Amino acid sequence: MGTARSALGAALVTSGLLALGYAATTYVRGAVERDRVRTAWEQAQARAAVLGVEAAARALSDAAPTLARGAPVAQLVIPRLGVDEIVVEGVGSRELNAGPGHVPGSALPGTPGNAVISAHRDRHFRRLAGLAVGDTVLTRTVGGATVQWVVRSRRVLDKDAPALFATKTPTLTLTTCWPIAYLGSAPDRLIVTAEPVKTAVAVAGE
Amino acid sequence: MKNRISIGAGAMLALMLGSGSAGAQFTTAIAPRRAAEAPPAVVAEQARQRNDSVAKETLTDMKAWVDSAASTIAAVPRPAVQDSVGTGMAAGPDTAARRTSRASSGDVAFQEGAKAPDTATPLPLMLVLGFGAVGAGLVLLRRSEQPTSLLQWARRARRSARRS
Repeated sequence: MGTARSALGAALVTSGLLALGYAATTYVRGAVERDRVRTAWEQAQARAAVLGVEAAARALSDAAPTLARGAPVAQLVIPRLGVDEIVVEGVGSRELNAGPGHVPGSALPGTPGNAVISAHRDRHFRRLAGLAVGDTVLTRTVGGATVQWVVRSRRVLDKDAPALFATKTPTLTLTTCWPIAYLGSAPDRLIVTAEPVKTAVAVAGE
Repeated sequence: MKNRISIGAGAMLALMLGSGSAGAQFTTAIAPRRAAEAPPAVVAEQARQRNDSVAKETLTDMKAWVDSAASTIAAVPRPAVQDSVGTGMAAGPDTAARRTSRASSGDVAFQEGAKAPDTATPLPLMLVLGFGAVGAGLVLLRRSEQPTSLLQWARRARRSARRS
C-alpha cells in the first residue's frame, strides 16, 4: 500500500513538473519572441523614417499580401487598459505566442477593409475583457500612419460562429477567447469592433 | 551588295545631274577613311578577353565565385524579416520559402463569414493541473512515510512498546 502510494505520488510530481515546465517554457519563449518582435518593429520604424514615410506606407499597402509570417506589421495601443503590443503577421501558434496576430488576408489597420487582430486571452489580450464601447484604441503601421479608433461593438460568439466579415470602410476587429478566466479550451470568442475617428500620417523623423 | 552599289551609283548620278540646277559644282567624292588595322598584339588580347569570360571563370572556380558573390550580397544591408516590413515585400531569395511556410502552416486566412482565429490555449489549465499534480504527489509521498490513520499509529506504537 505504501509502495503504491509513493509510486503514485512520484508519478504525480513528475507529470506535474513536466506540465509546469512546458507551460513555463512556452511563456518564456513567448516573452523572448515578444522582445525580438518589438526590436524588429523599432528598427522598421527607424528605417521608415529614413526612407520616407510615404514611400514605406505605399510599399506596405501595395504588397500587404506578401508580408512574412511573424514579421511586425503594426503597433496596437489601448491607453485605458495599458495595452501596448506589436502585432505580427499570422495567427499560428508561434505568432500568437509572440504577440497579437494580424489575420492574413485581412486589411492592415487604417486601410479600407476589415483589419482583424487576434491574441491569446492569457497573454497579450488578457485585459481585453475591460474594453468597453466608446474606448479608444490606437494603431500605427510601419509607414507611420496612426489611426485612432473608437470601440463600437462588443460581442461574444460561439467559437464556430461566423465572426469575420469584409467591410468597405476601415474597420478594426479584435478577437480573443471568452471567457477570459476559463480553465481549458474556451468555448466562445470575444469580438470587439472599432471604427476610425482620426488618422494621422507621421512626418519622417518624428 | 548589288543593290547597295546600284543605290550608291544612282545617288551619285542624281547629285551630278542635279548639281547644275542647284547651282553647285560637284568635283569629286571623298571616300571615308578605313579604320586602321589593330596591331596583332591588340587583336590577340581582345581574343583572350573574349575567351576569358566571367562564365568561364565561374565554371572553373565556382567556390571562389560563390564566396565573392556571397560577400557582395552580404555587403548590401537587407535584413530578412524587417525588410519585408519596411518595404512590404519579402526580401530576396527566401521569398519562396516564406510563401511555402505560410501555405503549410495551416493558420486562418481572412474570408467572408470565417470564424474567429483559434486563440484557445491550454496553458492556464496546464498550470493549474501541474501545480495540483505536484501538490497531490508531494502529499502522497509524505503520507507514505508517515502513519496515515489512527489505527496505523496505534499499531506502530504497540510494536515499539513490545520491542522496548
